[in-house]
Amino acid sequence: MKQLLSKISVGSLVVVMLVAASIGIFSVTSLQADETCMSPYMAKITGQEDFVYVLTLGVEGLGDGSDKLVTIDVRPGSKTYGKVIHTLSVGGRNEMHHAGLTDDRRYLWAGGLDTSMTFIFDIHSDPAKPRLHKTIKDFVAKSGGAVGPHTFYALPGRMMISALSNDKDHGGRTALVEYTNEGEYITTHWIPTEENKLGAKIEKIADGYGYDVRVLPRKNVMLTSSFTGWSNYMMDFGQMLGDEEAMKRFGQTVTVWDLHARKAKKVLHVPGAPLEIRFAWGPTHNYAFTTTALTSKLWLIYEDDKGEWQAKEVADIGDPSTIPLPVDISIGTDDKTLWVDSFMDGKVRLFDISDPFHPKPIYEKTIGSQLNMVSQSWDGKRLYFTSSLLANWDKKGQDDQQFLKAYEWDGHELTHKFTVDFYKEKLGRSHIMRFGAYSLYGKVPPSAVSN
Amino acid sequence: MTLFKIILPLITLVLVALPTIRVSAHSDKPHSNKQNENTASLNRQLEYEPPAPGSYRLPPIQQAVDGDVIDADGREHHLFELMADKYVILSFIFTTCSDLKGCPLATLTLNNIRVTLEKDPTLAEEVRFLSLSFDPEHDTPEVMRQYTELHGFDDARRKNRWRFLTTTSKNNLQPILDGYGQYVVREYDSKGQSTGGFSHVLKVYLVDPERKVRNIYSTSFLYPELIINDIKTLILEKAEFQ
Repeated sequence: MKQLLSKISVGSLVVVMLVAASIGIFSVTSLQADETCMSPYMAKITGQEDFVYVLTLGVEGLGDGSDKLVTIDVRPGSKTYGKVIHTLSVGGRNEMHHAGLTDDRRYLWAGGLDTSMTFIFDIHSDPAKPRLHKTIKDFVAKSGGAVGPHTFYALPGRMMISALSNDKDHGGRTALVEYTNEGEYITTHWIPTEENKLGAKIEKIADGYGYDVRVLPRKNVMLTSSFTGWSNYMMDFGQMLGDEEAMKRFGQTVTVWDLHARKAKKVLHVPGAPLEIRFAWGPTHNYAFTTTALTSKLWLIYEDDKGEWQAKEVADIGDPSTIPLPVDISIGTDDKTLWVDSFMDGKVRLFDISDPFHPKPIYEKTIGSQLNMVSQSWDGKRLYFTSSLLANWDKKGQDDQQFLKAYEWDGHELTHKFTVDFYKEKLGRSHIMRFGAYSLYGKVPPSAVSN
Repeated sequence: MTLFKIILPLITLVLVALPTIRVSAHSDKPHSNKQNENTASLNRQLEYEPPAPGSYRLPPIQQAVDGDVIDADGREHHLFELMADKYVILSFIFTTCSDLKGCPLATLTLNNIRVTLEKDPTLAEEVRFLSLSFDPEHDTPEVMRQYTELHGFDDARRKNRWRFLTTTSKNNLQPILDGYGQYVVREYDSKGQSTGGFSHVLKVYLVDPERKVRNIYSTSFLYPELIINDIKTLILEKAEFQ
C-alpha cells in the first residue's frame, strides 16, 4: 500500500485540486439551511435552524424597560416551538438596531444607535441561553467620532461596522469602523465627502453618509449605502416629516470600495436613502440590489461590460406616491426572487428578479400594521418577520403592533405558523433577527441526547 | 495505518472528483454562500487586479501569540523562536482533513506562495511558513513528517522555510488557538457520536517581524498574489519608517 501510494506524485494533491477547481467541481450544491444575506465568511448552519434571536428595543413601563436579546425556539417538534425560551436584558435603552455574527458564529454583536454602545453576546456556550460577553462603550472615541454602530459584518477574524452618524454635527457623515473578533478597535475608514473625496470618482455628489455594508470578495468589491444621521433617526417621525431641513438630510449615495485596500473608488448617485444591500449569489452575477426608503424604488448596483460599477433604478415598490417606505430585503439563493418589506403598509412583496434589470412583482401579503425586518431560511421555505423600525418612527396607538411572525413559503403562498406578540410578552419593540443552531458548536439538542 | 489516514483525503478527492467532473462540467446550479466563496477561491484565477504593494495599509489587528510546539523532527520550540524576525504565514490544519476547501486549500496556497517567492531569493529569505496541527492526538511529529514527504514539502521543511508543527497536548494547543481566535470543534453526528472530523472556519494569518498579525485570510482571500502583495506592502512600510 505504501509503495502504491508513493507512486502517486508527491505534488498530486496540488495538481488534482487545480484540475478539479478549474472545471468547477466544487460548485456542486449540497442542501443547507441558513438565513440568506449573511457574510460569506461565516460558519453555516447545516439543516434546520434551532433558534431565532431577536434584538428588541426596550419600552418605558413595559417589563424592565430595557433592550433585550430574545431567544425563540423554532426547532420543529420541540415542546417549546414558537415560544420565547430566554430573554437577556442589557439594562438600559440604547435604540438597539442591527446585529451581526462573527465569522465563527460564536458571538452576536448588536449596536445601539443612540448610545453607540455595542453589546457582544456569547451564543455558543449555551445557544439556548445567550449571555452578555462584553460591552464596547468607547466606540465614538476609539473610532475618531463615528456615532451609531449599525451593520455588523463578519470579515475574517474581524467585524466591519458601518456607522450612521458623527459626534460633530450628529448628521449623516460617518465611517466604517473595524474591530477584532475580540472587540478591540483596529481602524476607521471615513466615507467620501465633497470636501474630502478620498480619491473616489464622484458620480454626482459625495454625501459621506452610511448605512449598510456588504462585500463581493471574488470581485474585491465592498458597497456601502446611506441613510441619515442621529439628528433625524432620533427625531419623532411626524415631526421630521414636517421639517423641511431635516428631510434634506438623507443619503443619496452608494459607495463602491476596493475591499482589500479599503479604499473608496466610486460614489454612485442613488437618491432617496438607499438602505439594505444584497449581493446576488451566482458566480457570474456581479450585482446587488438595494431599495430607497423615501422614493420606494428598487435599484440595481451592477458591474457593466467595461468592469465599471453602475447604479440603475429598475422597479417601483408598490405605489411610490403612497410612500410604502421599503425597509429590509432578502434575496433567494437562486437569485430568482427578492422579498421586500415595506414599513408603512405592513406588506411584504416578492419580486421575480430572474432578469435583474427588469424585476417583476409576483406576490404580496400584508403581515401587520407595520413591518420592518425579514429573514428567510437558506432553502427559502421559512420566513420570519418583525415590526419595529426605530422607537420614534414606529406607529402609534393600535397600529404599533410589535411581533415576530413565522411563515412557510410553498412557492405560491405564505402560510402563517406562529406569532409572538412582543408587547403582550412585555419584551419591547422587535427588530433584527439572526438564526442559531446547536450543530454549529458540536452540540445536539437536549431532546436528541435524551432519545 | 497512519499513512493511509493522511492519504485518505487525496484518494477521496480523486475518486470523488473524477465522476463529478463529468456530471458537473456543464452544471449551472446555484451556489450556496459557502460554496460561492469556495468556488471563487479554488479557481486560482483572480477576477481582479490586486491592489499594488504599498498602495494600501494593513493596520495591526492583534498581537501574535507564543506557545510551545514540536516540529516534524520532534524538536521542541517556542512559536516566537520559529517566527524569528521574519514575515510569517501561519495556518492551522489537521492532516486527515478531507474538506478540500479547508486545510488542503490552505496548504496548497502556502506552497504556491513558497514556490513563487523562491524566484526572488531575497524576498523568500524574509518569509517563513508555519503549519500547526490542531489534532495533536493524531498528528504526531512522525505523522507531520510523513505529511510533508507525501506532499513534496520535505525539502522546504529541511531548509526550515516551512515548519510543520504539532503540540504535546491539548493543554499546550488550546492557548494558541484561543490567542489567534481559531475556533475548532469536534464534529458529532445527530446521536452525539464523534465523526472524527473537526469543524472550523479556515483562517491563515500574516504576522510581521514585530509579531503583530497584519492580515487574516479565509478561503475567499487565499490567493498567492494577494498575500505576496501584502508581504511586499509590509516590507515597504518597514522601509518607509527606517
